[in-house]
Amino acid sequence: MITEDRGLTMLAGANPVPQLDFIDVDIEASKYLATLEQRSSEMTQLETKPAKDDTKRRPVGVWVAVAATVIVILGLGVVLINQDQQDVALSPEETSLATATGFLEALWAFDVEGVTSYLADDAELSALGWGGEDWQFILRLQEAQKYQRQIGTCALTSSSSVRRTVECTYTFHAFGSDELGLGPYTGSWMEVVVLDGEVRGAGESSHFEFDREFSPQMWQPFGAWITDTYPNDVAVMYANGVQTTAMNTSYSGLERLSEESTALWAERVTEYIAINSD
Amino acid sequence: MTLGDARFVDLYQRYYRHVYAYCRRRTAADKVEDAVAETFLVVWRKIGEVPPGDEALPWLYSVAHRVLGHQWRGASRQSRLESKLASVGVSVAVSAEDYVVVDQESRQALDALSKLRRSDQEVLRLSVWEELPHREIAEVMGLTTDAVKKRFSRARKKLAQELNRMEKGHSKSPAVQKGGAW
Repeated sequence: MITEDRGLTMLAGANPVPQLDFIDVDIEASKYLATLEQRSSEMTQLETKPAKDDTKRRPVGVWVAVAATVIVILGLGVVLINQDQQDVALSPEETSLATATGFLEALWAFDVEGVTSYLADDAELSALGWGGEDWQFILRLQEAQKYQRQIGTCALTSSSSVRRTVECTYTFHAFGSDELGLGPYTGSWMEVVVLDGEVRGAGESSHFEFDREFSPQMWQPFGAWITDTYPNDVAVMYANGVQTTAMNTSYSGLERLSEESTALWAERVTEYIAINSD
Repeated sequence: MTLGDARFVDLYQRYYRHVYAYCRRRTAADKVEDAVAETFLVVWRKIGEVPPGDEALPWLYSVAHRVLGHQWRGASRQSRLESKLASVGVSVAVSAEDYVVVDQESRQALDALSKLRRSDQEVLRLSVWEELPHREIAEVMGLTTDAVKKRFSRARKKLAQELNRMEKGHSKSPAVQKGGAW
């Protein structure tokens, strides 16, 4: 029997480079730096060097025409340039905010492709209850449950040279609460970790306001209705029976994740709204 | 020499071996030099963003992590192309130097490691090989420290499970570390 500690010891023994002294490298930083700077300088010259021979041959009239054209173009382009500068001149913090909000908008629009485009390969979404590929299932389930989230305010809560954490508050409707004249529900927020323009992690939280309003108004009545009306559906839709509260959950612990469950949630939520909105 | 240049020289001399070892532990021998050079090129360009003191090393690892990620994704694309070529009868040569052959127990450990999720593999490597604490692993991988703790716990458990499974003879896959398998 190999224990966890023994496994780590074996892995340590498998280190392909156990000691740094084994690395026989010629560390000549100054030479490397000089090469870098020379290459950089050459590239700058290539980009900026004027064609002197050509300018000598150009008559003055051509320069006047060129100058006039440039002035017209500049005049016409002022608005566009100003607009572009907003994109070009984004600070790393602003870029992280834009990435986080873009990710959340895709997430809350149930746009799998859009979400994927923001995610790093090794993104950690387990704090949402989304492990591995499950997040796509969760998106489909929440769409079936008619979740609608509205982004509130976003702010950087921590920032380092390599990583920025953005926290966004949001309000939401679910289970047709908007059609029943209830909600929107407040007290929830999402934390998104952005690194190098990619989403590397996300977590969802809520506090007592969430439980105080959403659970008694929507979650519990819906669960009670399912239990009374379709008792056989409970085992299909819920992982461990109908819970009395939705607080402090990351969703995946409550609903059963399956195609059958998702389809049934869509059907029952629609029916629930139809019955209760009359 | 500017202040930035002096800082770069200091970082280069202090951490070249660390970055080299980091890359060598994760990629094939013939790709290491490129990865290290590219990493230090990024360092030079972003010298003003390198954190001070001991925080510089996790930052360097995070850059190398990303550089190797690009290399790995490039290799994946190449691999898909190679598969396509193979399907039409074009053979693709694989260099023996792409592999690091190690003793039996280490082979087992590397083989078991390769069965884990890529991100879990990286958490274990950073912890066991680079000997980084969870907080610094979080910096390298852009995760929260809590997430790293959870991953580490999950990964070490899974590693032991895989090793035990192999002990029972359920796994007979070749024990090699191939370039890009990070």
